[in-house]
Amino acid sequence: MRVTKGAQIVAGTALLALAVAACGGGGTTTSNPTSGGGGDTPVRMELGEPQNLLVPSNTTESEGSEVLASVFEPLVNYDENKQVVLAAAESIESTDNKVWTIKLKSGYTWQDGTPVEAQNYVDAWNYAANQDNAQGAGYFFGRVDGYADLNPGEGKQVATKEMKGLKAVDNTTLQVTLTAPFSQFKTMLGYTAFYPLPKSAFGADGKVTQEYGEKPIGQGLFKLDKPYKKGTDQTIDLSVYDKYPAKKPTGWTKLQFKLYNSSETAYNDLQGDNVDIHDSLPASAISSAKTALGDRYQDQADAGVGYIGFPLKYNDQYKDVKMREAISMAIDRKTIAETVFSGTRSPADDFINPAIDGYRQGACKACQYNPTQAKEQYAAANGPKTLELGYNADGGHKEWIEAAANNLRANLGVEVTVKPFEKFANILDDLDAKKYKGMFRMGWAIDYPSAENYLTPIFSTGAITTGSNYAGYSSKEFDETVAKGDQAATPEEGLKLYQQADDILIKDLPYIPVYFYRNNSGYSTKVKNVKINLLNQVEWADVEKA
Amino acid sequence: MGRYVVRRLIQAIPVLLGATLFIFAIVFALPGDPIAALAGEKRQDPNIVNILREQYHLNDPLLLQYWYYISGIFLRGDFGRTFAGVPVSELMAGKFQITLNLALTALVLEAVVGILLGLWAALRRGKAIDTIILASTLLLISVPPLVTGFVLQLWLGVWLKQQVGVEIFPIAGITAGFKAYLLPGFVLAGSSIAYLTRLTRTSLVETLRSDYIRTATAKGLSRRRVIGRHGLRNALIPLVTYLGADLGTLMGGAVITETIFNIPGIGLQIYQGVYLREQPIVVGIVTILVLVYILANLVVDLLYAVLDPRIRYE
Repeated sequence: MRVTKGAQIVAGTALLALAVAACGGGGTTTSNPTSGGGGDTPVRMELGEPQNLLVPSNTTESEGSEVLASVFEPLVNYDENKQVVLAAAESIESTDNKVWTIKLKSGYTWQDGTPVEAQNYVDAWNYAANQDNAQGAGYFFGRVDGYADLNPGEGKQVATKEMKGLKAVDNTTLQVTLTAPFSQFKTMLGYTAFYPLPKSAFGADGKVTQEYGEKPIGQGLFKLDKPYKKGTDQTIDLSVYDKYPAKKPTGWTKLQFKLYNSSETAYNDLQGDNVDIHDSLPASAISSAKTALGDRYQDQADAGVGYIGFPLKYNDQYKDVKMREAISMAIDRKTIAETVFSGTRSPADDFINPAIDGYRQGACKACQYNPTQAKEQYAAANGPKTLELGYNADGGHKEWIEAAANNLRANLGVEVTVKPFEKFANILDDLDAKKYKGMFRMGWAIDYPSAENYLTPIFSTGAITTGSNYAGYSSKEFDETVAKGDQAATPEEGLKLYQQADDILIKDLPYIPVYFYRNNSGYSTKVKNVKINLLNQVEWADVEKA
Repeated sequence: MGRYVVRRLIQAIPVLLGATLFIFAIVFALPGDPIAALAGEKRQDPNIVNILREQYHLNDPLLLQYWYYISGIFLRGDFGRTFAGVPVSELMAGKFQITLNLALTALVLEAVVGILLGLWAALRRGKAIDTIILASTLLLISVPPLVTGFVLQLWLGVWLKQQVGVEIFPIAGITAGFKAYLLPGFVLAGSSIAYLTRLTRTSLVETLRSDYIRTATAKGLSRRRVIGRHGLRNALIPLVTYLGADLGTLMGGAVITETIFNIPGIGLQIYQGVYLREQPIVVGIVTILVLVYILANLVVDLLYAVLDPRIRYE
């Protein structure tokens, strides 16, 4: 048969393309342990791409933290009753809440075989706090004495590489001196930033190496099988570390994080049993997940809070607290949580989240939907006829902001302009530049599970310049009450004082809490007993294969 | 011909430089501070923000920043680093391979299915099959890839697997190798297949009406030879133009398909790069895409000469 030249070219191109595609496919395929019978099939979990390389002190987002939490053992963990329990620490004690002595449990070793020493903590924390290393989680050490020496400001030389408040007393004892007493210090220690680093993490220049960031060596339950190439790899594969001294999972030894760009896609994979645990089910899947997954669908409190903030510092229009109360009462939180968010949120009724010890149900009276009283009070307070409500358009906030705006229009009889910003940072820029003077949406995800974390970083006077106090709220009474809580002799006493500070916020309403986040997760038919802790991390030792 | 190719390649240099500067300036002009935005709702320590801004030369004027970037590429072959510290060249190498796999799968599907359907419709012009093909292509054009993507993923991926117990079309990801690209490749090629079918049909119908076809038939050539050698070959020129231009589109415009099928390619990366204002990523990828366009166009132009001996390049 004669083949024409044109057809030859077409066929040739097609074949070539197929061959290239096929070769490429083979070349980039990561080893996939799920194929092939026998052997140990991994437990697979959905994950978004970590924002940075896997260095604890530079990981402040949930995805990287999830991976690191499986590789490292934190000093403390949190139990089902929201209380701190010791993990890698034998004891954490202080007589004055200022000088803390941390004793390390024996038995922990680095995954390269070397023993874990107190100095490893000192090195890691000093590295994190040093401004020259520009670590995202450096601010966690702001309470440690000597932090200021490592952060003299831009362009200034850092004189020392060590915080004077941080000392390794011996191989297993660590002493931390704070600048001021802080009763919640123990609670902070479970966070990613407080993981230790082995000597091998540091390069000749004293910086954590890129190799380490791709294949972190921890002292926890799992170790990475191979370096993680960020941006290219679609899985992060781990195996149980043999010499891990605490509880290991029974019946399985391999863990695989599968990276997804879309939680909808991951949900489809979950239905196809291609992934075992999905801890951030999309709102669009919630109603179908309840029936499709049955018992394998979980809904639990998540520590995040969503607010609407008032620009107290920038606009006198919002000065009257009665008017702010009226705005708060005009918002139908229940409908927003249940309809707009399909139940992935719950209506907020306190500044402290129900996932955390210290929450009081119904504490915020002005958070209850009461359109009639709202209208009267708004009129009595002579509130402005037009309101502005800003939000960042990149985070799926449009729907609930529109819903809240409709509430205000209908219940207060005012005109409401809804203003989208590209990112949250743009709202802050425009507030600072006085280009924008309206209300704004705001969200808070905790750094450590303590009631105090809902207060100081967002509402203290000091947080106006260094923290997230974007309202510019300043109350002496509030600051003093929180400070008393920080100095309290026992955590219980501290909690009482924090609740008093919470009451001041409820009275002053610099922000209005609108919703609490929920954690909506699902798992496949292949696993059971999946528990997710306060930091939204899976308790791997408890997970069993079904 | 050799000189022609060299001349075309030299012409590409100012195009490349212009494109990089243009993209660089566009990303530069986006509002807001990319470093501060990395922290989301939490205010990052202003001190750390400033140190990072210095490190990425973000405090310098546009042209100086551009100079750092472009001199890095030409003097050191360094495409810069992302905010996460990953070398952009390393990132791109992996991503381009993946996107090329996807784009070529789509292109082959498009060429084979599109040309065959177009051929069929043209030869049965006015018959029922012609109408069916035209109607179904219209459908394919009007349904966006977002819909075809999710529907095919749910039916051929999830549902089919639940029915037969074996994965025929992987639901998402590329760990299954070549077959993982089939479904996304089809979704990506969807509307192009339809356009190509219609283009082939029209082009062939027109060619088959021309005098030389009548002459060839009158000479007593077989129908296969008349259509293959004289009809299709002459009809191919607009199709090759379309396919060549489409390769670039398929590579750069696959954001939706890549998201649905979780394929870590450059479409998504470019989107994230723009979102995070990471100039090195955006400019690096766009530069290579421009190169792909230029080369694809060159190949198309050269193919003209192969298809039609009357066209000569000197």
